[in-house]
Amino acid sequence: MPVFPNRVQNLQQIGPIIEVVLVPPPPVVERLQSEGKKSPSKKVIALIDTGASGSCINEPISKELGLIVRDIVPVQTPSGTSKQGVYDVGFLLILPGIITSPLIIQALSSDLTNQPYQALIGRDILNYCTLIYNGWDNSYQLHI
Amino acid sequence: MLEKELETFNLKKAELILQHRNGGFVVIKDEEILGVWQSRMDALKAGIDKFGNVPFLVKNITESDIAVNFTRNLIFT
Repeated sequence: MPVFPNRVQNLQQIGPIIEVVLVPPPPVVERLQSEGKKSPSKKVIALIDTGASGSCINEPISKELGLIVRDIVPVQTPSGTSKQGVYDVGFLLILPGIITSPLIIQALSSDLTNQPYQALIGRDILNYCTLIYNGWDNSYQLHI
Repeated sequence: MLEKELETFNLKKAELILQHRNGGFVVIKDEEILGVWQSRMDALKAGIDKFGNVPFLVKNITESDIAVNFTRNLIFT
């Protein structure tokens, strides 16, 4: 089991962040490859957000990766409930020495422009992980 | 966004639930129901093989959708 210990200068202020590579889902990648086209990918900083049941990506990235809305789902926030589109997208977590296989999830697209990260890793991804948050040490560990 | 497809799904939902008691993922383009697959990726692949990488619906066959919950406010786009 790969272990990812990460020390963040001010963990409370910044939060547990991790580099990820976002990719289109495998059927789209295969289609692009069969057409002789290069499959897009985007390396970004993501915040591990235990307060989110699902994951999110910044809106320009969904466009850059050519993602297409494949479903509409209800979304609850403190402001209320709304219906939003979701994209199938692959998250590859960058760990020391390895990059995980893509975890394919259905992500929402939101405006994270003014944030220091471009994606939120929600509990749909954490469902496959163990997360240890060590506030005393300004560090966290992610076990995949 | 996917209005026609969702309308088709809602019209056929009861029938789909009856026919697929173990669940599954249905692919719908406009009024056309392409089929049902047990895996979402298989459903997505079938849709792309048939229609290309264009908008179509891949919907989990359930009575009601599970809401995605955020403890913070986000601007969805």
